[in-house]
Amino acid sequence: MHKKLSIKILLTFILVFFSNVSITHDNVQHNIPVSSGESCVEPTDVMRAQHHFFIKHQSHETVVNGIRTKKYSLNNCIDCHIKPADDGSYPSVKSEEHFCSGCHIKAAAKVECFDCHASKPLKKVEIENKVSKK
Amino acid sequence: MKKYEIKLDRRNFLKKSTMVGLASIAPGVFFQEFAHARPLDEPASDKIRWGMLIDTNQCTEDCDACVTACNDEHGIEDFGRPATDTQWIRKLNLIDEFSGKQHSIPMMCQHCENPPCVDVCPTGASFKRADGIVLVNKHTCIGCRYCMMSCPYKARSFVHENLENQLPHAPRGKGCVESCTLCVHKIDRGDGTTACSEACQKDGHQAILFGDLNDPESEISKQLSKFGGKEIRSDLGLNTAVRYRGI
Repeated sequence: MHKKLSIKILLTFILVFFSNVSITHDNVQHNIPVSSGESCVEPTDVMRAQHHFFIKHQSHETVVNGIRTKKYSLNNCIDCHIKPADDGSYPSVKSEEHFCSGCHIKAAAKVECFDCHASKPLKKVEIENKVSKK
Repeated sequence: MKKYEIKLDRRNFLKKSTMVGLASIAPGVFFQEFAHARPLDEPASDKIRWGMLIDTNQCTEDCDACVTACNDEHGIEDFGRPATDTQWIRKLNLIDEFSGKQHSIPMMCQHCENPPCVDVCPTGASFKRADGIVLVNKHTCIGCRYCMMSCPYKARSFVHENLENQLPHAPRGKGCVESCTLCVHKIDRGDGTTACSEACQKDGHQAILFGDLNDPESEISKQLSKFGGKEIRSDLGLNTAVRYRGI
């Protein structure tokens, strides 16, 4: 009984660790081709593993010291990665179409940036605000 | 036991004497560099202290251009709940009991040199930037609202509602305290003005003058040295960066 169970557990671990399904999210569809610009500010594997460190460091530099370099700024990420669909609509941050949410929903890692920060480029936000005021 | 005292007079004396000294050594040349926009990778400098001078004689009771401009600039919405709605600037009416003279003034964060909100903040979220702007680091704010209680000017607001469509330059969210940032994004961009000051000028009142208090050549310093500028609740010794003329 115990032997069977332990073999099952072992098999499950082997499957999870070597299947590459959930750990590297290679199978997750990105809308990277839509992103403007030729390449990101760092190589893709570095960005995948460390983007949150870059953003967190930058947020401190910007808020506390007033440094406004664009390289790791969240607004810069949004400007480049969030592009409108064919009909001109921008994806909601709650949907998997959104660049950030695509992975974060799949990985069940809740992202709180957009509780406060804009999840769309400035122009889109301005237009929507004007419409809602009318 | 050592006794801690805040020696404001000595500090002010040293600051003023240094300023006078610097001004006499290098007039014009030294201070000219401040007029330009700061490079993006350069931190805010403590050589500058941003402030505002408000001429209450120019401000009229029926005008709220500064309030509207501030709301538009930062995407502040009205939820129809006056008790809790966010206010970064509000208009006040002051009445002199002796003469009956009325003044209408805009009231916002006074960007104190010795801010009580910074003293009481348990997490260090409330802080003063090198160039004298008092801000809330919303990444650290836990929404305890001690700063709101400590502020003698009622300048801070707590966000009670879920917000959507925030502007990229003005991140705001439920559960954090916020207040006038002196349009820090515009300052860092090198605009050299604030949304309220711009709107006031546009409306032809020219009641709000924004500038560098440390630069003796700036318009605000010239006007302050010529006409003076009162500090509201000067008895608290906070040395505010927002000064009022005519009250």
